[in-house]
Amino acid sequence: MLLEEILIFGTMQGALLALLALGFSLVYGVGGLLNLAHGAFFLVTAYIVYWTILFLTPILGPSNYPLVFAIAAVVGLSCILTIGAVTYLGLMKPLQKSHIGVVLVTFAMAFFFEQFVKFVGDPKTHYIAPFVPGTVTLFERITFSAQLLALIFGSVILVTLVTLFISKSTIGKSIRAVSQDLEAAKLVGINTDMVMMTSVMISALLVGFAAVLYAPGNYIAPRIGWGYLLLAFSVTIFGGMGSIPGSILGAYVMGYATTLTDYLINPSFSQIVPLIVILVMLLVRPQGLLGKKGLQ
Amino acid sequence: METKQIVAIALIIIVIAGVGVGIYLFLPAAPYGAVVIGQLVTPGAPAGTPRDRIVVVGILDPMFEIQGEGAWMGAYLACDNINAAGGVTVGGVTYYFGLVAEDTAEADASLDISKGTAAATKIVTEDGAQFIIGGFRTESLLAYQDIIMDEKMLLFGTGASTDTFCSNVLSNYSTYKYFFRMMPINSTSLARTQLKYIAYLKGYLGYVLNRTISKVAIIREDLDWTVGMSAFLNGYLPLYNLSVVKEIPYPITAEAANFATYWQQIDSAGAQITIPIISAQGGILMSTQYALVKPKTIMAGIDVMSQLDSYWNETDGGCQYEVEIQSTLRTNKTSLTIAFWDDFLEHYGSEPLYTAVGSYDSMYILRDGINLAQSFNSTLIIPQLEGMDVDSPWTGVSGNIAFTPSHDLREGYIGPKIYSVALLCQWQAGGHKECVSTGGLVYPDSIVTAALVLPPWGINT
Amino acid sequence: MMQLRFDWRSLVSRFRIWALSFRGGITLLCLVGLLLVPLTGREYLVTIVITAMILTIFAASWDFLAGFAGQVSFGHAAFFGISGYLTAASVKFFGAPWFVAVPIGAGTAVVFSLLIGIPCLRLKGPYLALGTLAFALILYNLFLTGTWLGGTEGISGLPNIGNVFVIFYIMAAFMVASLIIMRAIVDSRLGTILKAIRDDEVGADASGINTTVYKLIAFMVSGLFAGVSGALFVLDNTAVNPAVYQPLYSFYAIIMASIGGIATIYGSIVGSFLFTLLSEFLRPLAAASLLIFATLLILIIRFAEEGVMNPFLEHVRDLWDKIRGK
Repeated sequence: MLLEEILIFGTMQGALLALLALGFSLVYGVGGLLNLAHGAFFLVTAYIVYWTILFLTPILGPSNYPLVFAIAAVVGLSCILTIGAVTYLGLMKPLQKSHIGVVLVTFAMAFFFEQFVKFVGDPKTHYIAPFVPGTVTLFERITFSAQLLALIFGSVILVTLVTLFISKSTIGKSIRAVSQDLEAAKLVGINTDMVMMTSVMISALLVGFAAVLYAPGNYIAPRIGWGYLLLAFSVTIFGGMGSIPGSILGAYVMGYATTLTDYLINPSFSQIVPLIVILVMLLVRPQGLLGKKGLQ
Repeated sequence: METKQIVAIALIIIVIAGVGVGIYLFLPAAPYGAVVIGQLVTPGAPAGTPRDRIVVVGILDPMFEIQGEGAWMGAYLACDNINAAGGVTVGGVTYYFGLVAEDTAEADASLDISKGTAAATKIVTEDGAQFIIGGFRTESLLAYQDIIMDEKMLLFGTGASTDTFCSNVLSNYSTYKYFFRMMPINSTSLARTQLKYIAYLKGYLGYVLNRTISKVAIIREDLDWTVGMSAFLNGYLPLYNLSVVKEIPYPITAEAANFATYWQQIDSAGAQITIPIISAQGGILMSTQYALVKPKTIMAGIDVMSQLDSYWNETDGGCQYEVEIQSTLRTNKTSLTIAFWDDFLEHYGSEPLYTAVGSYDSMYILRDGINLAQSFNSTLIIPQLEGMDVDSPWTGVSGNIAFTPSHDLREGYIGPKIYSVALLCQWQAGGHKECVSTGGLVYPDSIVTAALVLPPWGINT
Repeated sequence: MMQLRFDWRSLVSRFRIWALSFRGGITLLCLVGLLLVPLTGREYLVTIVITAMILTIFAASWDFLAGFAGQVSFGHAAFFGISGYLTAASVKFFGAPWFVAVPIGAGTAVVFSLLIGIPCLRLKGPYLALGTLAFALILYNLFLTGTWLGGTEGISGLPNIGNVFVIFYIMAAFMVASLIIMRAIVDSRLGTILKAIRDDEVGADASGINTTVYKLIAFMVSGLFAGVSGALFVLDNTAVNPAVYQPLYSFYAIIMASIGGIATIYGSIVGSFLFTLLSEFLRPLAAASLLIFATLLILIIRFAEEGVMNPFLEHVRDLWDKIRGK
């Protein structure tokens, strides 16, 4: 009885967390860049989608909602790709040498984006209608929005694609090379800046997809970025900074764990779960589940 | 290094100048009652009124959130109307009202109370406010109210519902007597209203559906204020043969998928009535997921966001059938209510939020207080306000205002005279919000605008 | 460990040399300027300068730990908050006068700095940052969901220390004393050891330094001053609530210290005054103020990696030298 519910909702959580954490972990693994604007990328994508929908609906009519949403999603994703690239070139690359510099500047970015959506839009909470209408009923009694199925499928497909890309393609191979040894990669003629920019862009794309798949049917408000950042953070710590299989595994373990606490203990306790996981993990096994030993 | 710094400085100057020019160009086109910070505005006052003829009322609120915006809109409209009607005359001299606002940023998820105390200090020492309207978040108001009390300045509370502020008046009268609650009714009364309505609903549903109604669920955000409310309901509901079959305190960070699971749990527990106790954005998710999951239960409780008229669109109509508590609706609470409601709609194109109703009433009660006392001294106005009691209440738009000894609002109604009561409002088809019957337990049926509509997917047996 | 010699004559002559030097002159000038602020009689200005001074101590305490000992903490609000809570509780529930409550609060912060410092000893870089952040967040959640010490509403209605001008001079005294003590520590042998650990921990260990002990000392000193500022912050606002544990305050410290310049201690003054005064003076621009503020922040961090204080002082000095015709 309970098992099925935990299975379904845990998978949803895990799918979301995997999208959030994979890119975050990738960027840290490749360049040692801790991107505190990761959650803000989610925020910006969600708002661009929201604004585009507001702008297009009167033109195309509310009956064409899937088309409107598709255009909005493309606009949102291309914006976040650009923002990712610009962030790397303009802010991260010049400050790369001091890790605290990157942390500070991305923090300021996150703050900037929060204020930006507040200023351009308003501080109120908004709702994006799901693009997959209706509900799904599983096991004859567990009903949930069909949109969440799209999240699960989308997440699985994207995570598989990115993993394949990194393990098979040429750029993927250079990404791995850079993450193993930056100096050596430079010596054999890999354009490390290019590689790092690519990984920041992949990361932005993944978190953008998380926003496109998860924000519909959910609320958006200027402050939501911080929550997603914390989630990405805790999964990454859990799975191991810079380890891609680690963050995928970590995402699902964490997803089931929070759902389990939701059902068995108390929903308000489940928000402390990621924090306790971080602490215990840091103290017992700082490199995470599948992390690299030598990482600092 | 050198050039970099020059570029940085140049960029900074360009950005500041650009934004400054932008704001300057932006200002003249501002709509009626747009929020202005730290600047005295005197809507309705004759041009060229000298500064010493202006009574400055300060608005302290989160000015960029709906609550502060609402308080400003209500006060602005009242100020405009009062000034147009000739202001207030003290000692044969006519004075007009002016407004000044400071942002306390108290609705921010990450609260910095020093922002509130700085705003309060600024409004009383720099902006020259003589009276204050506002206050929204209890923790923040607790910190900055002392600044206003030290200045011996009237503070009309329009947002925070905690009993603390009024119990302070009793426990330390000489310090805290300057506080008067205008809105909303205090949390104890709110809980009582909630309980009375559920008791009524039990009888009504039992009669209409011809079955015993005994199972209630509570869904609440896990914050201190809902703990007390939940304890109260858990204590009293069994006395009405109602048992709480499921209680879900959820973290304020909960999201759509979480709410789907909450509704599953409530539905499988067989709850017939579900009481939400929610002030934050969780409401939107609760309503939309309710419409999706279709649990066989009716929602009746506190959901602050659903007080907004935009809630219907924000939830894509998911809030249909939801019954929620709000202070005012377009119905005859007093003879002034409907006229005010229409006036507000005409000026702003949206319905007033509770802070707007509260600040509107605050402006008028302040004018009448000044008029009766023939003075601008807060200490002298207090006896006049205290004189507005059960026997001689003051007629506002939110009800007949009668202050208790703790400067709280008298709740309930006597005959046709409605004091401060909360209304039970249901979202019905087409996005209309209607005031539904409480069988006379909370307010007389004379102000009811429509009958309760039950969700077509039925109620649990 | 530290050699404190009370050789007054040499102290006085050293002070005179320092006061006549460029930096000494500027410092004294600023100090006199600061002490003259209450004479303007503008209560609002005095209030925000008080906030700036309190946050200066906080930022400096972070700078001490991060800049000199190399331990970057993202959870400094934990020390700030726990001290604030204990101070408020001892004033409110036990009627302690403020000058007793501040040491109680700060003392608790020192204990907490050990509680957090010991388990975090093996963590480095982002891991340490996260570990401390998690500690602060757990405290935040505990105080938010718990009902002890006032629950979500916290403790309020503390008595005022005095009128705002009295508070001003008390806070100024605390700020000056805290900064001088911290600066003295980093200039002492202890400071040198900490810098050695920061720059090369393995090397320091090999040369016989007990890095564990020294890192803990750094945590304690930093916790002490963060605690002092937390206590003063709460006394100044006359209220405390769980929000003091938020990452917001930790980030305040980080941003202020890095605007001024990391590993300078005195840079915190520049950072926190810039930060506090700017965000207050931008108030009339309403919703745009925070956006402008965020933009400035990005620009400062991007283009002034060493903070704004030292480069600015260098420029002024060059100008000064040119004027004097050197």
